[in-house]
Amino acid sequence: MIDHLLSLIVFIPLLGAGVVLFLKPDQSAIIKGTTLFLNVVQLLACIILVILFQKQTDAASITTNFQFVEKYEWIRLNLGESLRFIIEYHIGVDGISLPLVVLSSFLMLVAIISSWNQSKQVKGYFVLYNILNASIVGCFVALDFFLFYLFFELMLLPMFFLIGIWGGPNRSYASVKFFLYTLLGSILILIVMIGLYLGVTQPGSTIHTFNIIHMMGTENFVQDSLLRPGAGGTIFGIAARYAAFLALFVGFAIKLPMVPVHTWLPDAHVEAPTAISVILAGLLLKVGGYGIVRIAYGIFPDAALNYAYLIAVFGVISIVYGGLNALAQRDLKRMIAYSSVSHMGFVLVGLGALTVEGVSGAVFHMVSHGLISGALFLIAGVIYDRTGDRLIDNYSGLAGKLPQYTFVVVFMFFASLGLPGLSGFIGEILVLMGAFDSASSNGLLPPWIGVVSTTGIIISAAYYLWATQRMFFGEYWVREASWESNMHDISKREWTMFIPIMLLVLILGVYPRFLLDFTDNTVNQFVNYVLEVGANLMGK
Amino acid sequence: MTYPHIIFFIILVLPLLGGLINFLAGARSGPWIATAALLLSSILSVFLLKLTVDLPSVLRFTWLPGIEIGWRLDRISVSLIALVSFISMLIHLFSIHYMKDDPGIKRYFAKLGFFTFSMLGVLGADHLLLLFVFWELVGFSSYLLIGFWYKNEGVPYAARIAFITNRIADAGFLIGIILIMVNSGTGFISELQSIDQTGWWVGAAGIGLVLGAFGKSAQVPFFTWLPRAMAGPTPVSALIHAATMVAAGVYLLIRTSVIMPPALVSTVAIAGALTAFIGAFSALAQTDIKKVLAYSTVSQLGYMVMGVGVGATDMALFHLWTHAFFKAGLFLSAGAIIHYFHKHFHSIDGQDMRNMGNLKSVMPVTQFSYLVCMLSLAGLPFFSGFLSKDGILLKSLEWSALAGPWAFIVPVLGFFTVGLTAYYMGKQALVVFYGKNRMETELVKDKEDFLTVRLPLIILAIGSLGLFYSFNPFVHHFQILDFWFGHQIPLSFSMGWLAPAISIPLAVGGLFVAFRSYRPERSFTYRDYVARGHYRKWSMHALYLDQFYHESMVKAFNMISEIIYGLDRRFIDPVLNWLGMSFVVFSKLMDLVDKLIVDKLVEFVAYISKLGGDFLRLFHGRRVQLHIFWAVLGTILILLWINNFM
Repeated sequence: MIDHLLSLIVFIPLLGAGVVLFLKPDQSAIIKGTTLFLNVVQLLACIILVILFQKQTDAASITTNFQFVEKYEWIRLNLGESLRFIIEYHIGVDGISLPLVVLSSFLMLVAIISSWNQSKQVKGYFVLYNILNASIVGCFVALDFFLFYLFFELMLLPMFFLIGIWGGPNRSYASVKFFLYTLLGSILILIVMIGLYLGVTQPGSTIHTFNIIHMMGTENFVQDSLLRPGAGGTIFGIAARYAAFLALFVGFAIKLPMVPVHTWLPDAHVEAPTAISVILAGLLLKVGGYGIVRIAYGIFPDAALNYAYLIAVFGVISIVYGGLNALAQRDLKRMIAYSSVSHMGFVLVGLGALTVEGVSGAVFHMVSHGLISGALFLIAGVIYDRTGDRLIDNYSGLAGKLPQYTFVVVFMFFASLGLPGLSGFIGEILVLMGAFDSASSNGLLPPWIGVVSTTGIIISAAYYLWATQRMFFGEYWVREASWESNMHDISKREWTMFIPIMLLVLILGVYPRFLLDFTDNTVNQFVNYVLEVGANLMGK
Repeated sequence: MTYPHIIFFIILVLPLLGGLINFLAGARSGPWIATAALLLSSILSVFLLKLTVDLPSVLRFTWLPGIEIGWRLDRISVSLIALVSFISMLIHLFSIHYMKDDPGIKRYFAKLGFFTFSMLGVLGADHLLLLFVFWELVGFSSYLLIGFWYKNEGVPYAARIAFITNRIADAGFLIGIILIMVNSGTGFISELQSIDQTGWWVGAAGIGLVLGAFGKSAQVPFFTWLPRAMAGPTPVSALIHAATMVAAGVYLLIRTSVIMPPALVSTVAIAGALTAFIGAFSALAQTDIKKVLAYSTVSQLGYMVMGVGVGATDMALFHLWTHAFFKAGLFLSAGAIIHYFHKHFHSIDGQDMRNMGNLKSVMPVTQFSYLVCMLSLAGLPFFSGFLSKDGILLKSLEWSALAGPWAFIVPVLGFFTVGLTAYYMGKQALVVFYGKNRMETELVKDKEDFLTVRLPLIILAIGSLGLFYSFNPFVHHFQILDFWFGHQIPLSFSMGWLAPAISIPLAVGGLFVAFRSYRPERSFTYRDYVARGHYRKWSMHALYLDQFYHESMVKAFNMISEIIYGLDRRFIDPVLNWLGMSFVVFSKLMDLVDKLIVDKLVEFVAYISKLGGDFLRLFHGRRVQLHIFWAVLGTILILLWINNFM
């Protein structure tokens, strides 16, 4: 059982989807119950995974550091003697993917509680929901590029329908926009994937492979392939490997999202139902960040070094630009959506710094932002559930009427703006330390990157506090008299969503080693790998 | 974990715990529980002082991978811990009375406990990062406390501006901290002296630290948040905006000035002197009883910062100590007055001094406490403020003599401020407590409660007496300070008598001018006082700095964000949408190609085949005989054709 723990985590939700398919549409309690139960089982499996995970391994490099590895031949086509087509079912976790796996299972569970009152086409909703769960977790554990791509694309399908059917008034525009943007990214990734497949063979044979770990070894590239380090081929005048890296980077950056390819996000969020917003911000954006780390950086460390500065610059732009946009918003959910753009900018800066602090910070920030942004969208959902309206100016003085809600909002707003003691601060400080350290340790980033990134903490304070002032302080007032009767404080069900998140945010903020002890070893190896191998390859 | 640390953690956690239990306990007993927790903290901190006085106690631990942080309890930190927990205890006590009828009293004490916890954390931290953690928590709890009466007009704005101003300064502070940690490999305050101070980053880090300190300690140009913060309950103003939080910046400067380049330290001295002067000047024309005290706080903080700048760090620390007592005493006196007005004359603005007069007849103990603290602030001999302030002024004289002619601006501003301070404080005392009652209604007799009003006021007044610190009222003979710093404070200054010789006449003069204009028997029209004329207007609005920030920066910032959002909506999104659309157009085009060319080709092939089929069908009638005929004919033809080849 333990040997197949990871597969279990991936396939439990698919089992759920299968079971729900056989239930009748009107058995909504059973449908919800089944999904909830299986998700709890999945989370328990994740906890076992965490307990059994070895924080310190004696693996010498990032490529041999994976644990709970399962590897089976999955598809094999013999097309003649020399041409064989092999795709493997190959999964495993290391310190970078483990936290994200646990995060996804946790947030999916929270999102189920959030969608507990969903009454429209319950069966379809939860079937798609379970598929989404499996595909997200699958993305984080896949070590075969083809498998990764499969899960990556599979994510799109339920997401498209979940926004397009269960969303707000402008849902079809938003879902198509989401779909088109992500599809464009997928195409870029697909092209590079095929190129890599044709260029990489299994060690010591001529059989081509999709294995990401093999793609990280430069000796596995075919002699005359375009993507072989030092091959000298160019695409549009850019060295082929750099062009491939950029294609991957843009593909994942759309998902992240990075300015200027972020505009799908506010629309998708505003239209998506609350639970889907939670997953979108909490998990889907992280797939983008994870893809950059695992695939773009992992396979093309030389290009990562070459473009580190550029990536950090785009990170800084995202931080400032997203923050300023958030300040201008009148819709609470849209403000939170833009704040996500701003915060994911920190992830890019941390990755650009390529120091241990920076990359640890990026990973930490992804987890922390997953929790915090999830809670923030739940917060927007609480008020939307009561009034069907999210405009900040339509409320005032809620603190007197809804004190518990106000407590949660202030807690989460301050967590997001980086109050020390809560998790948001740790991610930001690590990233900033990484950015400043980069100037003196590896020379990739100049100090101004860190300085400008720091202004992000001022801007985030500005929009959160302004929103708090407008919505929660002053005399109690709401726009419509008909809302009055619905203005009751947070229910027990809503507390069960908030309390675990708040506890985790607090624990991670006070005792960050709770997470960093898991990531530290891998991140060290990762940074060493990128710096050493990257520098070697650039020298060629 | 050593014995002193366990005690420290108990001291640290008690306020938090007290606040929490208070929250659960209920509105009657809760506040007393919180106060008792603070009392225990104060007693324990005296005990802790005894333990750590000879042997600083250090505790280090790894917080983030590869980053060790820690606590350090030495004489300075522990005596300030004792100060903060003691003052906080008195203010808790006073708050029980002050907040008695407020529906949010539980919330209030929880926040007050949280604030005290954060402040104690700042004092115990040895690592800059750990200090920053609690530093931000101090800012956060101050935000919560300023915004306590969130329903009132202007309160939320005041809280927000306070936090944002601090946040701007803290961004600089954070950069400074990171630069030190990254470049020197240590962030421990106690190790700062020994780091290698070469490289561009030292100056940058120093500027960052100074920014952070200036934000928290309300120095030029950040001071505007402090007078606004008076929107919070008055005991809160006493605790955080007079005695503790604002002193954190000074404390930071004292601890970190060792790594600052000389030019920066001189700038700090000048900025401090300027703040001292601007604060005092702005206090002159205020009519709000709390605003006067707020600007006086700004001014006194300026003295402390100036003290650090001129090298009198021990005196700055001493002034921090004495100021904590007399300023808390002044604010609590003001609180007693405001509470009195609120209770008996609800419709009258109880913070406007123009409504006050002859309050000595109804509040004798408040008057006594106020007078002692005010004379201490004004800097008269026999009071504590005189000793510490003159220590700073004396050192500034000496410093300016060595630093060059430009440096005389610092002592000149410093001494001038002494006169201004005595004037505005004398004016306030005379207007509030003496003369005639300026209201239409009669004053009401109301005995001040002993335990929750008189006792804290009396203790703070006693703490403001000079006797408490030095037996000689003029020459500083600070046994208590020598004990505190662990070494004799060098006081054999070359200009030993010069400072008191200038400052005493100035202080007495300031009081005299105030007495001439506002003496009780003289009839003056303070009731109708409006700040007219240029100097009064500039003083009333504190050089219009706040308005300037609001009109220029806040509005510009909001405008930029609107413009950026416009850019996002009208440019970036359409461009990307257009890209998306072009895909759609492209696929439509493909569709057209498909329909017009590919489809038509296929149709053409089909048409040709059909044509062929139709032609061939001509030969196939519906008779079997005809079939046989064609079959035979065909066979013959094929045979002939084959024969031809053979």
